[in-house]
This record gives sequence, C-alpha cells and structure tokens, in this order.
Amino acid sequence: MQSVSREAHMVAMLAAFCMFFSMIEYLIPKPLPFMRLGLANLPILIALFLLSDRKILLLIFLKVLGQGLVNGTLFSYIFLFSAAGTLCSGTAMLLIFKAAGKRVSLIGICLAGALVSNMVQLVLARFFIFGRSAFIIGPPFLIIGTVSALILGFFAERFVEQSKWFALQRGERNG
Amino acid sequence: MDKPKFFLWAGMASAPAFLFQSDPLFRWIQVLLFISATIISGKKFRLLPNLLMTAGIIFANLMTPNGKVILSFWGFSVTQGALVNGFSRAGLLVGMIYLSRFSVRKNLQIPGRLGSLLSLVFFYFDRIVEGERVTRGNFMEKIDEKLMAVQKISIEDFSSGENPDHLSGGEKLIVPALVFILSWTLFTIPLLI
Repeated sequence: MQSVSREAHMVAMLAAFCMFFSMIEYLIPKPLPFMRLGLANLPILIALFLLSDRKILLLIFLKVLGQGLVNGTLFSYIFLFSAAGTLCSGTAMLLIFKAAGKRVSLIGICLAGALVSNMVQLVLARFFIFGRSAFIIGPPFLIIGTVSALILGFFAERFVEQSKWFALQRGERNG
Repeated sequence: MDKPKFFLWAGMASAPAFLFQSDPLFRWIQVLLFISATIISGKKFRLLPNLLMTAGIIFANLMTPNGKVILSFWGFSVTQGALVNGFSRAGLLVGMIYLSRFSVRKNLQIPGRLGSLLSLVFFYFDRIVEGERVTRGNFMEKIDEKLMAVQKISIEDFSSGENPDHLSGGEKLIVPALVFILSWTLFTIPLLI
C-alpha cells in the first residue's frame, strides 16, 4: 500500500460523506431525474476552507464517481448530466472562493455553483433530451435550484460557524 | 489476487447485473442475496433502518402519481406505476449499499495512488454507514458528531486491517464467487421468462 497523507485521508473522508449525502438525497423524489437538492455539495463547501485547490478538484471528481455508484446511475445518461453539473459548479465555486475570499459568503458561493450547474444541465438537456422545449423547464428548474442553494448555503454558513469538528480541523491546518 | 481484491472484483462484476435489472421483484431477490453475503462475511445488518429507508422511498414516490389508481383513501391515491417505481428505487439503493459493503473489505488495498485513495473512500463510507447511529441534536449536530466519530478512526486503523474477516480462506472465495454467479443468474431469468 502506498503511503497515504493526512490530507488524502481528509479528501477520502469528505468524499465518503458526499456519497452518504447522495444516499440521503436519493430518498427525495425529483421532478426531473438529474435534478438535485445539492446536499452532497456540503463537503465541497467545507473543503474550500480545509484543502488545497488540487485536492478540492480531486474531491469533486470523487464526488461525481461516488454519486454515480451510490445512486446506481454510473452507466446512464443521468450520470453525464450530474457529472457535467458537478464538475462545472465545483470549479466555479472554487474559483469564486479563491478570487473573492471572505467578501462572498458560502450562500453566494453556493448560489453561483447552483446557477452554473443548472445552466450546464439545461444546455445538455437542450441537446440530448428535450430539444428547444428544454427552456420551458428552465424557469422552474432555476427557481428550485436557487431556493435549494440558498438553503444549503445558509446551512453551510452555520455549519462552519458552529461545528466542533470543523473548528478542530481548521485549528490543526492553521496550527 | 489477494482476497479483499477478489471480493471487490466480484462485487464490481455483479454490479451491472443489479443496475440493469428490469424486474423489481428479481431486483429485491438480488438485494436479499447481497444482504445475506454481507452478513455471512461478518458485517452488521440492521433491519429497522433499512425498512424505514425503503418505506420512505416508496412513500416519497407515491407523492408523484403515475399509472393506474390501485387504492384511494382520505383523498390520497396509490398508483401502480409510482408504487412499482418506489419499490424498484428502494431496492436499488438498499442493494447498492450492501453490494458496496460486501465488496469492500477492511484491508482492501487497490494498487496505485488513486487506488489507495479509492480504498480509503470506501473504508470511510463503510464506517459512516456501519457506525453507531447518532440520535442526539438537530441535523447539523448529528452531522458534526458523525464527523467526529469517523475522524477518530486513525490512519493505523485503516492500514492494519484490524478486526479481520472471520471467514476461512475457502469460504472467502466461495461467497464472492456465488454472489457473482447468482446475481447474473437473477438478471438473466426475467429476460428468459
């Protein structure tokens, strides 16, 4: 076995939590199969404070893979939507966090991520499933995405303020 | 090939037979197969959380009517399509959990850096699902406590393979081989009927 660093353990643990949240999210029915609340993005939002850029990108990749495995969509077109949405939104969230730092809250970062993810998925839906009529589902899709991102962002904001685990990890990282 | 890897390959090779299962009933038979294999190979199984999860998924799916109404009470309609859909989705989720728990042994070591990382992800996922249930506090406190509990698992705990599987060498190879053969048999039967 190759030696595994402490940061790799953190990546693996957060990826496992992404899988766990995907599992919880699976319980909630969706009007469209690729539509998600985004609960599994919580570990990525936390990781923005705890991991290096490369490790965050690795975590995003593992999240996509884990989601496909847990939800059993790895071999379906849903995976393509989910993967494209997650990869683009994750990268967008990372870039905004790096560029704006504390000037943008996790609610803002989460909203931007959801917007990017939903837009990418709408464009894919336009070309792969619905054709031009894809934009009919655009408004409700974006509204639901925005509301769920607001809720998740608010939750993530409270989590980083109140979590004992997060405080411990941050202390160790800074110390 | 060492034994944990044999479990992993058997699980991965069985996954398509489960994912592409067209018949919900046969999907649930596969679920029972994976649960049995998980128990035989020494991992815990709790009935109540799985029953609650199944009921939750079926109920959530019933909220979106689909197909013929088979039952109606207090203004709530149970439709056939939604019921079958919920039943099948619940089976998919429970089955994937147990297939993954069965396939990933504690001392699994996939070669390479990405392999090591994937082994770790599966290891932590198993600890999250198998670990003690957190009952105190609100949703956020529960997540926090779960993170603290999983964090306690040290690097040595992962690499030492503590709490090894209790099966003997021969049994270890028979169980994954049987899972593979039976899951593909169960996949094929509905196609032939």
